[in-house]
Amino acid sequence: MKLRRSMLFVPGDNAAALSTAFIYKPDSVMFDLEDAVSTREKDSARLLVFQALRHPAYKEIETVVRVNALNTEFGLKDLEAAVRGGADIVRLPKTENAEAIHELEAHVLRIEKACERPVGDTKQVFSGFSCSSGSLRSVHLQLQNQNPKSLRMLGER
Amino acid sequence: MIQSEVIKQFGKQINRVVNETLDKLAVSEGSIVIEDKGALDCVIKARVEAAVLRGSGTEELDWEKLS
Repeated sequence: MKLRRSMLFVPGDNAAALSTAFIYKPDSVMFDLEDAVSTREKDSARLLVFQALRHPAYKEIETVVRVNALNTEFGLKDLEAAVRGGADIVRLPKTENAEAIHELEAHVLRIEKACERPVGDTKQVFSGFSCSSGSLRSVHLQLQNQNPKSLRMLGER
Repeated sequence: MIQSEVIKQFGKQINRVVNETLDKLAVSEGSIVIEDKGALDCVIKARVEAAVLRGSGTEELDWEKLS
């Protein structure tokens, strides 16, 4: 089983952090395109993350990209960058219902086909609790309990 | 125009990365000013791409060309 003891959160617009995060060898590294990035830097951060994902140093580390919600103007573009860049996991924020998961699933499939990535290669994570039966490809469900600092990942299937 | 703290060691490489990136985006002319502090190639690529896309007001990206 893949160990996920440490996940290094990296703001997607921080070029210096993206260039050095891999030296700490975290179990996973999460590039954030959502809350960590201001609206005016969404475009440049997306490209930075896309290029960083393709950097050989990140081949050894599990990469997660937190995209913007798909109902924002940024979400789909972020998803293109994440899947085409080769992210291992896409993390969807603010998942409120099963439709959001099916939508994500469909888009990931479409992009994987478009860029000739093996279908099913990109795993997906959701925050939110009520959607556990949403997708065949959901590998984790993120549990967020009363204390927001205490995040846990549940097992793979 | 490229200014870099590491121009002596990496000037050629930076130049090559910038030119390759511009070629892929089919940019042949323009005033491009790069101020580098020793970034990785992937960062230089991303920055050049972002500058070109902003400069040209491109909203929809052709991802095949960004590599």
